[in-house]
Amino acid sequence: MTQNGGAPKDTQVGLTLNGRELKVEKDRLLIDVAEEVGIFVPRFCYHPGMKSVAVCRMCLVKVEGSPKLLPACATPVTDGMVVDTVDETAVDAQRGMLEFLLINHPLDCPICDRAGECPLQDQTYAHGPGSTRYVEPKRTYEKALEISELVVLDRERCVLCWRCVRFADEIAGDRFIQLVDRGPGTQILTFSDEPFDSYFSGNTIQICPVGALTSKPYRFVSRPWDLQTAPSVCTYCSVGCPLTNESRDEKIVRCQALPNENVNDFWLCDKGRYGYHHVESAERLGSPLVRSGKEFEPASWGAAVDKIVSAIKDKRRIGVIAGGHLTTEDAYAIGKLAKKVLETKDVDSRIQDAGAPYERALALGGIAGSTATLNDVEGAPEILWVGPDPKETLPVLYLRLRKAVNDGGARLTVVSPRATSLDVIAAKVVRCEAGGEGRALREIDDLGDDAVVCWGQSSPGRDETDAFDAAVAASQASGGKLLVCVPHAGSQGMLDMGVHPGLDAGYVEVAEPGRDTRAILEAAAAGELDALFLFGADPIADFPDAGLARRALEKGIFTVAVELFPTQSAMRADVVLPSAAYAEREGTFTNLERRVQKLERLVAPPGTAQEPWKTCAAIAGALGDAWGWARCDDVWDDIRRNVPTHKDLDLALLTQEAPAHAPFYESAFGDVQTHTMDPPALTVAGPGGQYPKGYRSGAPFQTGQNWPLSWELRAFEAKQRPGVIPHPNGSANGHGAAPAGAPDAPDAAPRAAEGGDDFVLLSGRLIYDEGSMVSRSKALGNIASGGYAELNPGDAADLEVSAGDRVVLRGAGAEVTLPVRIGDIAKGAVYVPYDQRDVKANTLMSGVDSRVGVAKA
Amino acid sequence: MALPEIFTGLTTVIKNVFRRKDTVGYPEVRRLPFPRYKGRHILDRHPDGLEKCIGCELCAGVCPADAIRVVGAENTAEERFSPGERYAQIYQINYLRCIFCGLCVEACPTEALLMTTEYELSGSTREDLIYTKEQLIVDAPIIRHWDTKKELPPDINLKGTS
Ligand code: SF4
Ligand code: SF4
Ligand code: SF4
Ligand code: SF4
Ligand code: FES
Repeated sequence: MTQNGGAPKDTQVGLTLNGRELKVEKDRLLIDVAEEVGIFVPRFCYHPGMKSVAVCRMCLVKVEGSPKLLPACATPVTDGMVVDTVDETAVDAQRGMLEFLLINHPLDCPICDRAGECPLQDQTYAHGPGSTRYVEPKRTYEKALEISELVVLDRERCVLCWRCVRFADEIAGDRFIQLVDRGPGTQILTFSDEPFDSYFSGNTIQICPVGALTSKPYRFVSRPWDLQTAPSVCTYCSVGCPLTNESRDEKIVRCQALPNENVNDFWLCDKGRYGYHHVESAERLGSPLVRSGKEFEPASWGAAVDKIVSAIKDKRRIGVIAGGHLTTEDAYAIGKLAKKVLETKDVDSRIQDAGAPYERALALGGIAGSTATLNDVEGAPEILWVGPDPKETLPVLYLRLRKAVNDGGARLTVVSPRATSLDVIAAKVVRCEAGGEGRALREIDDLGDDAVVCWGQSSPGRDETDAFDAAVAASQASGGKLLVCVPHAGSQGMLDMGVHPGLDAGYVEVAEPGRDTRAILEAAAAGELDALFLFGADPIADFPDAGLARRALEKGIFTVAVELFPTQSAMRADVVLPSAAYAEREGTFTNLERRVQKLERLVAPPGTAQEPWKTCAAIAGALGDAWGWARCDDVWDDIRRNVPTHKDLDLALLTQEAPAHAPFYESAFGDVQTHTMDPPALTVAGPGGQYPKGYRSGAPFQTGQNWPLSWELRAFEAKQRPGVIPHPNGSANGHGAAPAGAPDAPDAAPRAAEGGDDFVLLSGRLIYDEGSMVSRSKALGNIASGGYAELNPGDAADLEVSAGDRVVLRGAGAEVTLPVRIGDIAKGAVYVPYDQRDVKANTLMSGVDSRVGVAKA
Repeated sequence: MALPEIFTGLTTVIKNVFRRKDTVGYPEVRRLPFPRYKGRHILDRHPDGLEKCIGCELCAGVCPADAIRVVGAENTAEERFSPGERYAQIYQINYLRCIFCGLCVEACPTEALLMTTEYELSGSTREDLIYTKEQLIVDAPIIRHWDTKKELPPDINLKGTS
């Protein structure tokens, strides 16, 4: 919960703070109010993203009329309050608290990873006593316990602020870490033997105000003053959490959440936080490769482009497939190359989500995407979720849904053929048949007004048009909004920029749609194409019919692949062009709520790898259409001229200068006497402060790269990161006509046979899988769960299997043996995670309604 | 008017012409530095042979010339370099940058980093003057407040004429 959000504007109170008269909204916390006017109250336990517990007593201030000092983090402002944060008694109490905290603190800063950006260090320096009076031996514990694959715990350093515990309970809902014992023996621990394997564990490291929780992959790797920092956006899913990449010696060594209360609050999931190692993977492609016979030979860009041009000149049967991890600029360039230069309509970016009918949302205000923002979700009175398990696929959206329900009181309804992690907080769970979402949605009659309906494709490759139309209808019926959960970071940008067979850039519908991904691959497999372009696309791994993808790529059609890695699909291409990864380039991503956020370049790409938009421009140039793009800004200018939805979007607005004065960090040093912080003189410790980052790290101090990283920077919000794209027809929440040409609801009766061997195959990604980026991120490589087959208890009984037994799945000519899990899943369906080491579910799939035979192994 | 000044000036000059010279004919004559002269660094060891340096990077952080590069790593039971959890996997001092201010020595929390009186640092390439951990670390713990001469490599004759 954010204490400063949502207070009604008309209830103002007047108070005196350190002699200053202030008028502020009622019920806000003193600590926030003070910070806003530049008075820093030291703190350890308070965190703006969580409820106050007031356990550290560091923020004690004097309030007139109160016999005792009051904690500023738990005291709401009231009318006529007279507060003094620098009263001798308050300062004395703060000094005393620090002395207490240091009694048992090991003071092993030299070996502690937090040193240099440690709130305890900084506040001791600013507000603490100069020396200790305590000479007795300190409490000791075994050091450096590895409580999970990613987190290391040092109990000696803990100051018992409860932040990690509160995060795990309140925000993530995974109770894995707890304070145990009482009195001087109080210590932080995980429950015996259970590792701290939360998908969000990394956040506890970032909010721990000391070095008690530190990151295993970052252990002893660097000091904050060695780091170069650039703001960026997570590329893993469509939530698009802002983060910072931090590098040492041209290698990314850490990512931290960049707080934005509109998007990620203060959080990242562990995939986003630890998934950066793929950038430096030794497998990265660094030079164009041209096939000669069975082998590839490195070639120059010129030679590779010449080869492409000579192969496709005068050919007009070309298919273009783009993946979901490319930026908006790449999307625009791909759309432009395909539609203007190659003159083909066979362009699509939906691979894993092949066939997802996003364009049908156009009826709601002309957008192929969400009409709701993430803030709308959080503020909604009612939420209807139909789609994949958000904890696995859109982890930070899951946190925000939890917040909407737990703090905002939203009533959540979940419609799914399979148990999701939302079920425990949902007011109503509808367990529908596999493929019966549409029918189940139409049967819901208790949806209140202004509901936000969230739709995502729940199983790759299935035809979910019916469910989508039902979701659109439900949101219209309740007068609310729709959140369309596209799968990847770049998916929405692709739709916006017209990398879609039926839409041109700016959601302009084309009269005769071209082929979608499935049709392109079918045409390729039938030899009906002359050439195929794959931009960051690996259909063999991602397309929900691996057999078809393989046939298409093995047909001998001239194929160009633009890729980071030698993926299975790229290795079947004729020309492979290397691409720059997200940390190696400028650009923007458009997230699922259609917020445009900017990436900055931090490290250099390997070899001659370059941004895909440059590659597109080079190919277009060689075909005689010079676009004249040299920089990312040129692409944007072109986008602003040609894409009506984006014409007001100035890239400069998204480029953040280092702030003129660094905003407050939790351990800001100000004038220690008055606690006031004169902005020009302000020195802020810790990452992103004016000291010490960039100061003597070799490379010069770079403005604009020195973004503040600390979670306290609540100012970094929509005003400074604008960019939710305006609706083309100006309608605010788009009550439009029913989707044009919506088919009559098909008979959604389940076709699943009872038990037997005819099962509907459901799939979906788990957070950690064999995706080309995750699997090459060494911190995450080993924690993927592996494959399994989830069955309904009734079906399992029919098949005479129980949990842990093995079953054989047969489908699309493939066969795998998997361990059984019994779960809350619709009868007649079997769930297999999408892309795991021991099973590629897409090898079992074919068509839009994949079925598999299941038998006891 | 300026006569007395001219006279004083000339006296000074004449006096110094006959004084003992301070300059020596290096390298034939090599000067013995003062015992606390700040020259090339060494990294010390504990009596049990473990490295004193814990790879904390404080020396690198404080260095005004950005001459030091330290990369820490974790000790394991099989490979233990220093007591405790952390050691310096890479330790380099760039003597093209070092201004011999000694701040690094002051910052070092474990007294691992010390300065010797060795001042003859030259090399024919830039790389030669980036001293690595192997060059900086001593083989055996040194004795604090050592007699300077004793600790220098035997082939250097600081006494003077060779
Ligand atoms: S481990 Fe860190 S966050 Fe958790 S209670 Fe201790 S000091 Fe606070
Ligand atoms: S929720 Fe999505 S965008 Fe955010 S950190 Fe996780 S993977 Fe990245
Ligand atoms: S003596 Fe001074 S300049 Fe030389 S390495 Fe140490 S701190 Fe840097
Ligand atoms: S020499 Fe001293 S200050 Fe430098 S890294 Fe080693 S222990 Fe730290
Ligand atoms: S008691 Fe207020 S910050 Fe901890």
